Amino acid sequence: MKILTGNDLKTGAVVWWDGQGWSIHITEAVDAGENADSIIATESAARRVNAAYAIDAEQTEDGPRPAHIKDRVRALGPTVRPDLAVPAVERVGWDWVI
Amino acid sequence: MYQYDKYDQAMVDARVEEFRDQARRRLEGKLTEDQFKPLRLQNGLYLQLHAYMLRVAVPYGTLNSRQMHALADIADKYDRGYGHFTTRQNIQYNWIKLEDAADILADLAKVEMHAIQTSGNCIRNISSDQYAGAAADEVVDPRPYAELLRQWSSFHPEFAALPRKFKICVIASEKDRAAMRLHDIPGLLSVAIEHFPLVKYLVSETFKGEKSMLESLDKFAPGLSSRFDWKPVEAGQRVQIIKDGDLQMGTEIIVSKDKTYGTILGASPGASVSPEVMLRALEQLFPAVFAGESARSKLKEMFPEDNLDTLISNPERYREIRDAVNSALGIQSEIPA
Repeated sequence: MKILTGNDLKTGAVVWWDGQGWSIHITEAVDAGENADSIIATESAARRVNAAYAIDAEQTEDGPRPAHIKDRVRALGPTVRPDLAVPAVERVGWDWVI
Repeated sequence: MYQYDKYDQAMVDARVEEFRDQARRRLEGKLTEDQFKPLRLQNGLYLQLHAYMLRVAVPYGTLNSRQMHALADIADKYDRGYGHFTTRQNIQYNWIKLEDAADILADLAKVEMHAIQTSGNCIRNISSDQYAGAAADEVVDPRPYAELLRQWSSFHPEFAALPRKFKICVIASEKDRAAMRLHDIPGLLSVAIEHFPLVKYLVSETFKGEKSMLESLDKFAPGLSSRFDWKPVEAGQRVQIIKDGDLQMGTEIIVSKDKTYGTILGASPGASVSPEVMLRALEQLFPAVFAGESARSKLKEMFPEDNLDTLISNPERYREIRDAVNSALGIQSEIPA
C-alpha cells in the first residue's frame, strides 16, 4: 500500500494522511493508492502539510507499517527519548520499529 | 568575551524582523516551501526527522550566565525542556514550532546571540578549545583569534554562497579537545603564527569569488580577464600533515645541528617557491658563505625583490620583476592576440 507522510507546517510534527486530513497517529494512515501525487499537490498548496511524500507500507493488524525504518522511526518519535514518543507507540510498541 | 556594538545589535535585530516577515509570509502561503527553505536555513532552522530544529551559534563556545539562562528559558518556553550542545559548540533545539521561531531569535538577540550562519554553504560558527584561556598546555589564548575570525566572517557577503560549508576551529594546544580534526580547515595556531603570511594567503585565495579572482588577474595582467572565457577550477592547496598530531604547512627545511646535512620536506615545493626554499636551505647549511657584504649584494642582484608579499600585493613591482626576468631569459611576455 502507499501511504502519505509529511510535517505539519506550523509545528513541524510528523503527520500521516488519514483520508480527510493529517493525523499524528500512523495507525490512522490510509492507502492513498493512485491519488498520492494529487493529494500531496492539493494539501501542500493549501499548506495543510509540508514536505510531504508517498511511501510504501504494509497493512498489519496494528495498522500500516512503513517499509523503510526511517519512516517507522518518524512514526513513533526518537528512539533515544521514549518519553517523547507519540501515543501510537502504546498500540504498536517499540519492537515495531525494528 | 565579545560584546555587540550598536551596529552588531542593529544588524541582528534587523535580521530577526526580516525572518519574522519571511516566516509570516510562508504561513500565509505567500512563499512556497522551495522559496522559504533557503531563507529559514540561513537562520539556522532545519526540518529534521521529527520536527523543525533550530541551531544557535555559541561563538567559540563562550557563554556568559545571562546567555546560558536565556538558552535554558528558550528550552522551557518553546521546546521540550532541553537542548543539545554539539561538537561544534552550537546548541540545537529539536522541537521548534515555525510560528515561534522569530520570537526565539528575538529572545536570542536580547542576549547578543543568533542562529545566523549555522547552516548552508557559508563560514560557520568559529569553534575553539572549551578550556581556552584556562588550559596549562596552550601556547596562547586562542579566543582573540577566534573573535577576529568571528567578526570577519559574520555577514561577509562574499562568503554567503560558497560551494561548500566552511568550518573553522582555533586551538592552541597539542591536545585536540575541540574535535578540530573533524572540521574542514584544520590549523594549529602555533603553525598559523609561524607561517601567518602563508596561512593568510591560502585562506584568502580559498575564499575568493570569481569576480575578485578576475580583478586580481587584471591587476597583474591588464586586459587578460576579458580576453578569454575564464572558468575557475579547484587546485590543490599546499597544506599537509607530516606526522600525526603535528600539522605543518608549505615547505619545511630541516638542517642538522652540525650543518652537515639538510633536507626539504613538502608535499609539492613547486616552481614558484623552489628557488626561495633552496636559498633558505643553503643559507642555513652554509651560513658563512652568506654572511659577507659581497654575498648580500650578489643576492640582491640575483633576487632584486625578496619580499613575497610585495610581489603578491604590488602589481607594478611584479610586472617590473617579471619583465626583467623574461628579458634575461629571452621569454616573450606578451600573449599574442
